[in-house]
Amino acid sequence: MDAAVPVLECRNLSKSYGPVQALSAVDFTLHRGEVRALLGKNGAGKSTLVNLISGSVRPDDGTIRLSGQEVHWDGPGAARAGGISVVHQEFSLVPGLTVAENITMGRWPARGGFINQDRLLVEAQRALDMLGVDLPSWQLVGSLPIAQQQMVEIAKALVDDPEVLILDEPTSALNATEVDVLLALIRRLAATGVTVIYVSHRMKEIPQVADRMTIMRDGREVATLGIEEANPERVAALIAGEVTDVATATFHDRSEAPVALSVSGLAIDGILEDVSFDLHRGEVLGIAGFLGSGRTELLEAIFGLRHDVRGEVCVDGKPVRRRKPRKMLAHRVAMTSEDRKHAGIVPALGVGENVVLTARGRVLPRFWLRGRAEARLQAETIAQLAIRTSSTAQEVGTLSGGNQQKAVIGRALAAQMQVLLLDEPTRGIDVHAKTQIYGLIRELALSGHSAIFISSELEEMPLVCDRVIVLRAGRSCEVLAGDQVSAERILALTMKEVD
Amino acid sequence: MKAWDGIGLLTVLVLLYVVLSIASPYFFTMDNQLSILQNAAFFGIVAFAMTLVIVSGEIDISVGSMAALSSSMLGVFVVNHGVPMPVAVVLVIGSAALIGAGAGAMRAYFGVPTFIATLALYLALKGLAQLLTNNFPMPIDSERFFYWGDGRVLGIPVPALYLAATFLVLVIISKKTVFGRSIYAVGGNAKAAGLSGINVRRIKILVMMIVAITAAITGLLQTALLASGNSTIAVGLEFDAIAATIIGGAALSGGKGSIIGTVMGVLFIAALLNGMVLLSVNPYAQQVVRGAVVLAAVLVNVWRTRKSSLE
Repeated sequence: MDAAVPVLECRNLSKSYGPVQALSAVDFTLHRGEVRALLGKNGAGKSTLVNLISGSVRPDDGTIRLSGQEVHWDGPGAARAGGISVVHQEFSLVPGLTVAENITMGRWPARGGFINQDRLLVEAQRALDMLGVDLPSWQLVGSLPIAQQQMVEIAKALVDDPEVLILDEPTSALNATEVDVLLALIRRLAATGVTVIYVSHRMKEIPQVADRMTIMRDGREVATLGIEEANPERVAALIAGEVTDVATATFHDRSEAPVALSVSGLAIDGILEDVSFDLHRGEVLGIAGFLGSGRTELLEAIFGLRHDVRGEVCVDGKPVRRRKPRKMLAHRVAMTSEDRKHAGIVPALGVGENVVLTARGRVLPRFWLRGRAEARLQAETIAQLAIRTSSTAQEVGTLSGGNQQKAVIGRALAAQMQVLLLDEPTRGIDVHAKTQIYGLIRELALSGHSAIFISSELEEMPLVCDRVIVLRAGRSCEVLAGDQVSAERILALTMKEVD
Repeated sequence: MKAWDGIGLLTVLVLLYVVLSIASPYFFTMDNQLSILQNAAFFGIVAFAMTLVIVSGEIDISVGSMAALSSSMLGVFVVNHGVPMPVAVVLVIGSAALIGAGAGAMRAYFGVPTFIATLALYLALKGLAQLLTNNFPMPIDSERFFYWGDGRVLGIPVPALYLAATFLVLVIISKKTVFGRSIYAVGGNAKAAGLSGINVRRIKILVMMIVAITAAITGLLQTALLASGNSTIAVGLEFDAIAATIIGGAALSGGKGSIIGTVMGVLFIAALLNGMVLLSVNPYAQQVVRGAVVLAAVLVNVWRTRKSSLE
């Protein structure tokens, strides 16, 4: 093969979802044996780019060339066969099948319906050898530790002899030693001529594994740098971009206000270490940190969703022991999950029904439904939050993500909750709806509610929070207040490495 | 249930009535209609409670055995031990409630799927009933008790009145109480319901308890009708009860269904069975028809769900 012809050459790739321009005119070129890091915030367009290259989404505009040939994938299957394999962040392994069966899944060699075990083992072994790992191929995947499952996942992608291998956050579930092993394997793979696209948040890994890096923001490629030109500050600035701070003037120092919720010495083995803070009345406290930093687990620990928690949580000065969601709700503390679809809404029920689920038995009667009181509360809440719905009876599953999120927050408000634990309330909703959610949270703070706000989108923090705690590897590290809260500061702090 | 779904089902029910009325002149007489209602009671009461169970995302396939056990227990209490009838009835219903709650607790606390828990009960309760009675009918002599199963009030068979009463109570529970609406929330998204402060475990235990109680009541009705405690009754009760619920538009995945829909399902099955007897359809062929009807109902449900998810 001619070394001058790029393995992968994307020109002018664009993709929009409704009004959202997920990717605009991106050029992306990879050479044989290169490891390219792909960086950017959530929503910067990384996954869209990956999805286009790997055939799970079709571009609106632009071309993809593989070794000089223009390709139009019908789906991920075609892309795989054509030489592009993806290892997604979520595992797609079947725990009850063996390593070998998982690696060769979907292409089990068979004759007359009977699997040819010998050939299956040979093919699986070939993939494992390519990766250079030694795994017992007859063992059930479910019995392997996570790090080895990750290896199986990668071996699975190697069965088709890909020219381009895309790894999406492959280290998010691994510890430091496991990460080192994996990075070494990726280098070796690249040395054999496989081209790797490495999507990661972890700045520390990039120089160890990548030759060059591409940084994306708002659906555009903003820079492609050689690894030697990149220093963390410059990269952080490129990732965050120009931040147009709005309405920071409305923030308040609430440190004199009474404490609504206080957390001291909260710990979960292997996840959180000794986290303490006070949340004051009328305050919005942001928790910043990357995926896996323990953000969600912290909220779960407060709300009583975990049983492996040490430390103390006080509401209005009184400690709450043996916490359970219902007990916390009785103390007027509500949580909204980051997983809106599976832990937030009840899709088949009407918006109104969804809104009053928590209120029933609390501000509404415990046994009988009081039609009029209920209808009034539903209508008031929907109006207060400006939820766009044709009626209170419209199934909440049919609303837009932003309106679903408002319904979930509305559920806490209708039940007169005082402290809101909001886990990624703006995930997967459009820009306009996000602005409305920010405004809503600020309004609630002014009316005396307190909130803990978690978001992966760091530039949201200065728009919403009075104070931000940076969480790194399960420890609360720095506290930023008022003017200090800026996306660059937070990003730099979240990426700072723990020694 | 959406208005359209109800109208569709009603249309099918009316069509069935028109066809059967034309095919058999006796079908649409007062006598026959009352007899349809009486027969409907023997699975309809359970079907209404089964609807709540299925809406909550669970299932109970042990109702037939529960009915048989209730009948046998009543026989043993009254005949062998001379327990007064009202006390015996309370004991029987209380035991059923406990067993049902137990199945619900297995689900709620230990994560045993109700399909498996009630599959085990299906066999165990049946065996217990046969053990108690040695598989012989135990004749009960009580005119007042027979009245429950075979009597009439203002010309209406008593079981039909039970059917109507159960319907009313469960409709009110499902539509007008916090508990009833919580069943839909739990079946639609148990995780979200739990985070909203709904006691998911309690809901699951209660619905399993309610369906077990209705199964016991059905067993007692049959006992009154047959004038004996009997371990061989109510075979296939679970089939008719689940079928009526499914025909009524409930989704086995939970969160969807209504007692109003189920009442139409109950009437549909009862009328169909009655019509097939009037037209002297071969009893084996009758079973084939019943099976086919359930399959068709599921297909319609799936098709409807798919259509609504495409919208």
